[in-house]
Amino acid sequence: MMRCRTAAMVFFLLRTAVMAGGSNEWPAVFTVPVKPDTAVDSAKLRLSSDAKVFKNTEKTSSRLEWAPLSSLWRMRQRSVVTTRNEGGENAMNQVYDFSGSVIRDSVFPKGGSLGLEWSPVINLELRDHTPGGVTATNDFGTVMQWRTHDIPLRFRGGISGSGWNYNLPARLLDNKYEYFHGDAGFYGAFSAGDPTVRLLGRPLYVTTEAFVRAVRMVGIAAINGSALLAHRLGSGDSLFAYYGDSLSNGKERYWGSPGGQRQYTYAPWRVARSFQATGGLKFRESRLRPALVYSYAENAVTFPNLDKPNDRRVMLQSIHLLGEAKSTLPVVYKGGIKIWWGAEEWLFKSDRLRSVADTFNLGPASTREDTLTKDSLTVKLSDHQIYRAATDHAVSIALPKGMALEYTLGIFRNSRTYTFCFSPDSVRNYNDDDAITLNHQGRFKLPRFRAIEAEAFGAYSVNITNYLKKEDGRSSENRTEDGYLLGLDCSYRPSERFSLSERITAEADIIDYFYKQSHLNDPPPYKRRFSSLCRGTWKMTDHWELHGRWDENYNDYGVWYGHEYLDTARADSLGTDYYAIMNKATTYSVELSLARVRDRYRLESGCRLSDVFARSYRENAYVIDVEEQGYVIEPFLEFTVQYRRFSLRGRVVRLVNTLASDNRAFKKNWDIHVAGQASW
Amino acid sequence: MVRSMRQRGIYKWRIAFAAALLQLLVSCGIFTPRDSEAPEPGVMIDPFNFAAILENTNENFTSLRYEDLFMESDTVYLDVNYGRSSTTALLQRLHQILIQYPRIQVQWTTGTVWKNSGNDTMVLSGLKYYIFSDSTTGGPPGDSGSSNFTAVIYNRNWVVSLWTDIPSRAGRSFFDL
Repeated sequence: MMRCRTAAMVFFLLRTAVMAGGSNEWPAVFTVPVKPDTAVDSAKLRLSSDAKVFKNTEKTSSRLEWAPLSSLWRMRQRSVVTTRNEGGENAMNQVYDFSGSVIRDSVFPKGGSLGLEWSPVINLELRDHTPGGVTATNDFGTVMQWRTHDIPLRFRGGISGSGWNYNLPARLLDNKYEYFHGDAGFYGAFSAGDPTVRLLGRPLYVTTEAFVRAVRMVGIAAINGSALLAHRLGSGDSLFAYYGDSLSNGKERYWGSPGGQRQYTYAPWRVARSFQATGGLKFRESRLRPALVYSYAENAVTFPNLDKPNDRRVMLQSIHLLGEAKSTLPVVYKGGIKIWWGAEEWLFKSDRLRSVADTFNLGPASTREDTLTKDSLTVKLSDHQIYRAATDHAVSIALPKGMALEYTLGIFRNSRTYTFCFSPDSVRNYNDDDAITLNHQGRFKLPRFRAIEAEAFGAYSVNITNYLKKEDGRSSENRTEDGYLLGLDCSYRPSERFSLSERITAEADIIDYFYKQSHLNDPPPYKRRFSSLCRGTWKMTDHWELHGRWDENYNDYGVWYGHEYLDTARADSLGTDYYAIMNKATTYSVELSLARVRDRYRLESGCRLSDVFARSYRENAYVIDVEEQGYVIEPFLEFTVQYRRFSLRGRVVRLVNTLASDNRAFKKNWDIHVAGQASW
Repeated sequence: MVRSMRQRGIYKWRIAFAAALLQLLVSCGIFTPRDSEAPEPGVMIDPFNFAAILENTNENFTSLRYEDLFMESDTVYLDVNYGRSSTTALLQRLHQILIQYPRIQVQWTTGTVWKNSGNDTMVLSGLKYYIFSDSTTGGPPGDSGSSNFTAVIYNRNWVVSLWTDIPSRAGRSFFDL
């Protein structure tokens, strides 16, 4: 199951690879992965536990890992027990995971290894008043690894099984055998190549992986692979080419409730293919380093046995120009522009279209041959052409006296044009649109003055929703949403022992409709937010610290009463346009704590006081919203202990609400978190 | 000498590339929206102000057309007095009340928000509503109550999958203005 998920994840990653990253970033598929450092962990036995109680929810997780090592073999045994208890539901969920492996090295020439792996996972659900359930899955098989021509080859395979009982009585010993069910099958996986190692000494990085699992003769197979060529030309420029492909075919097994009976079952037969071919040229290192990338990607999913027409294919081409400028001047620039074009097609195989049409068509056979039913036509209405464009630019300038200026600009457009319609009513999809996002961000670091450092920042964003068609009222939704942010970060640090920092921000969101006549007496929403966060630390001695924090936020939400948004009668009686605040709230939070710090432990105790003062405009006045939310007082204790192989940390908070009626309910008013670890 | 000329040529080529990039950016209308058709007169969007129910969630409805806003279901509206309504029935009831009170205004207060870890389901609880039948929000509301909403991601957009109405007076609902 895990490998199927991996295959699905690869499919998803390939599918989204074209979309990921800013347009001024070099594509990630052209980056040769770096071999991760294999840090030597001398611990052979590790025990850790984590427990949390907060507002009627208890969660504990315990983990035991045993990994004895010798020069000839490696063993890893993991035992994880997780318990979750939802107090309100009186339901407990426990998961036991006993995965592990034992591998003997140097069994084959060139360091080949051979071993066994197992992965039993048991999931137990118990409830107070209704029958509970248990599910268990296990893979047990061999693992082999060897190298040929310096290419690593890996093989895994074995038996796979699952069992379940979804009629567990409260007393487990009262269980009946007929309630137990089980399935068995096999799994196998093969992989070759290492994405961090050159293939046969060439600048080529190839990996391939295949996986198959079948239980009760119903299975799924997945194969994926990728090849990356990263070649430096004689001119110093670099040439890149990438091809990635993945295919999965079969029925994925999952835990579900078909027909109301909870059991392991199969998803519909699904064939998913995804591939991407990308080529790029990066000019050699210079003051201005441009690059050019072209990519084609296609993702298709079909459901051969499913009556519901869900087959879909997305094809996208893209061209990407980007550049980076560095020089002896203290200016760095990075910019790029990327344009995608393509289409999304539903029921893209004509035979599939006909078979779906036949399924739905109740007419005579002769008409069936040429007529597509309304159901499949309705699905085809989602066919559309895609056009996307993005540009991103970032400039940073280092100024004298430690000053610095940064500016980024990002624009993204996503356009859809629906192409399919059918007669005689000329039925079509009217969702043709352009969605455009524009973001400006700036940051200015001011010169340091004695012990004071300050940085001002701001952002301005515009989101445009632009439907093209008036049918179904689409274009009447067109609007722009402007967002504003201004802020200041400053800190005062006269010595190593004392520091004070303040962050102030002001934000506003303003919406304006394009077609105001469609929003008469429906004025657009506005909102504002002002916040201040002040923090201070005073290390009185090497062992005593005083910490303080004062957080204050104000936000309001309302509508803009402008003449253009009111009918004639109301507009005439309106004086000047104004912002009508419908809800406003001020949130305060003050925290003070004292910490005792020693080599082996840290103990911090303090208290937080917070309050939400929320009001709504009703009957010509602002009325306080009372939701059993009075002042909240939270005394807390935090501790960290580190002694040789043991470590323990925790936080205990008692929540007191001055207006709540159930302040004495233990589980609802405590937030307790304790975690410990020991290793040998 | 030859090397220096070649380097100069490469540098010029790169300047030309940057200039072309800028030219492409500013002159092709790549980021300019296409012209849209003006809506028919009288077409109103979201007269019941459902956009406000997501006010404190940091999320937005992509479409405020009620056909898109409510998920297709047999039980999308649950009235504690009258029972359940399908999406079709709910849309009809919204349409009828709009015919009866074309200048209706609804104010929603924010409530508590719960989001699942996958960020594809939200439960909004305790949202109070105040209905003003004649679009004057200054006076007393014609009706008021409280509602819970469940919103889910469907086709990459937030939609309402369940609206539970808890009116302020027994035997009434959002639609009993």
